[in-house]
Amino acid sequence: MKKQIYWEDISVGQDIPSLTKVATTLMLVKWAGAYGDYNPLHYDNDFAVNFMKTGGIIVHGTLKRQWLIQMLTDWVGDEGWLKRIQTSFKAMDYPRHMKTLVGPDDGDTWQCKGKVTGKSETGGQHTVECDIWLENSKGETTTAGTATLMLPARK
Amino acid sequence: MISDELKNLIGRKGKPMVYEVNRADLLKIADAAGDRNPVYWDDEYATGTRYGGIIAPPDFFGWPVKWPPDQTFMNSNDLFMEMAIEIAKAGYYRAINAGMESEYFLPVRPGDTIILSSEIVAIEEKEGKKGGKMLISTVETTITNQNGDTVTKLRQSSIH
Repeated sequence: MKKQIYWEDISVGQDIPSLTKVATTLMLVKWAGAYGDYNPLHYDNDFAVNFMKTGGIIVHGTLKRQWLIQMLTDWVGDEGWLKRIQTSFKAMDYPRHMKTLVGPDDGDTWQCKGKVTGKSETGGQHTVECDIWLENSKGETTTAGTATLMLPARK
Repeated sequence: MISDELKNLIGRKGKPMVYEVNRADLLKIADAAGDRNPVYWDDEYATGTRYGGIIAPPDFFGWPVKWPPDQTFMNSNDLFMEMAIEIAKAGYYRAINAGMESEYFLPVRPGDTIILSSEIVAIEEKEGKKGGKMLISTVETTITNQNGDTVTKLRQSSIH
């Protein structure tokens, strides 16, 4: 059983525990199938380069968003609730290619990060507001947004 | 300034899509994202939580909605297809996900039947960063369950 965090434990300005992720071409195919997004931009390099002009296949915005969702749901635990999440896809991310059947080549590693920007209590609901973002290996923010979470209170 | 054809798309609603939530689909989403949260995976664990059983990860429904297995990308949803055709006529042939905002009201569980209703809420022309124009479309999707309760609302914007 995971340790539950409570509303009282959270202070404005604090960091949300970060989550490290890697995206590979293999993972993008898996995500395309699972999520039902068959846009060739995410698996057909020639299409990405020649038609979309993205320079190569790119990581799904929806996958990057799902990573941020995981960071938040891991943080607030089973008693917490992700109420709202907004994400803007600011820059493209390129997956690692596969070096072997199971192993990725060198390339980017991403960090999901967040910071608490506000907390409030209205009508017995305990809420926390956050900024959230995704950083690539160069420290550039490629996805950014905000989230609202509900947390259990001790009293 | 956008054309009247594009303006006419604003407010257009798609045919609601009915989707039966099954466990394999929600596990595929959790797996593909690398999320091993036991509340998605472990019956015994999930039963001991306040949910009383397995729930779906937020946003598992798919973008823009879950497409039926017999239909391929861009051919499945009348609304998105209609929009893509009109936008292409205006000279914009590409689409890229610009941003998404969701609000979650209730958990979704295996066995639920959800209905996804989409509406085009905005189409705007803007100046691009590198000069030149771009088009931004926004579609709002409301997802309700078999009890008629709203479980999620999603707004998704694309740059064309």
